[in-house]
Amino acid sequence: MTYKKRYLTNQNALSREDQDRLGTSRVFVAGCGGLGGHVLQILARTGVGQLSFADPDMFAETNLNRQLFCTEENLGVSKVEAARSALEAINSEISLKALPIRIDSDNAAELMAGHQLVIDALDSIPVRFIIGEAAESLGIPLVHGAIGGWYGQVAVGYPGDGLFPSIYGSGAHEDDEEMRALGNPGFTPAVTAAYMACEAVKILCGKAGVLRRRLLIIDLLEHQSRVIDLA
Amino acid sequence: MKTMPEIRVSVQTFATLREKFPAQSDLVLPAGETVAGMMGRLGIPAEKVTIIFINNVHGTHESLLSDGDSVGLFPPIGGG
Repeated sequence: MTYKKRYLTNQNALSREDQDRLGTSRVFVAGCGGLGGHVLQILARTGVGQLSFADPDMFAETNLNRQLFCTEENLGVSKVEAARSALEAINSEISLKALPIRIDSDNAAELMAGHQLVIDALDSIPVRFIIGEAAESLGIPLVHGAIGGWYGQVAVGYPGDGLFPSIYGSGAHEDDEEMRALGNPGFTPAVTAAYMACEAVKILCGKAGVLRRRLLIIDLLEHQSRVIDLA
Repeated sequence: MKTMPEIRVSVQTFATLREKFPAQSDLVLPAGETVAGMMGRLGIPAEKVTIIFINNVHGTHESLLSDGDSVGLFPPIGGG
């Protein structure tokens, strides 16, 4: 297969075989906000062949500071529809599935079935546990990312790893108001999403060095990143 | 008089914990102290900390601390 011109500058970092693998890959992105927008953009440009993305929300003015596909023109528009338009303009050669749906325990496995990888770009810890369990039941690996203020975190879980209990503990999980008080500036999702997209590409291409059972913690305030073992 | 053996550790806090519970560079604790015991002394509620690392290795609330340990305490973050 010829190396398409649009992917020529992926070359060497990604072999032709890697590029072909990406072209036949199917990725499900849960959440299309700060993290999801950046992840989708990178995966579309990199050449992932099929991207499905779910989010029930519409763009609001408070999203303008960080959500890549949010513009003054599309306030009130479905996030996934806006993402689809933007992604089509970036790469018309890939398949896009926009799902204006709230993920819950009844629909998660059905939505995620048929994909090779799930990306957690959600803004809710309880819903993370739902997609974690669905990915587990489907035998699909998952790339987790979360942000708060100046901090981001990224990890990868395969079925059997128990990723979310190892990150968030096994107690009751609620979205904490205190957590939201950290704020959500634009640079943190951009940095964190880039790591998430990178992990996704590595998994799809079978490359080494994936953050499996390890958590990358990014502290943009002190310029410290660390990887801790979750085992 | 017999003195209790002591250990000295450094503690770093992150995100929502950072301002309320500032970093400690030289915290003196009794030998055999756990992370939970240390957090109790600092007034950090147990439920606020979900990720603990000791010298960059994942720890738990029950982990025993040793002299010279560097402890990181991280609250849950869940934004997207």
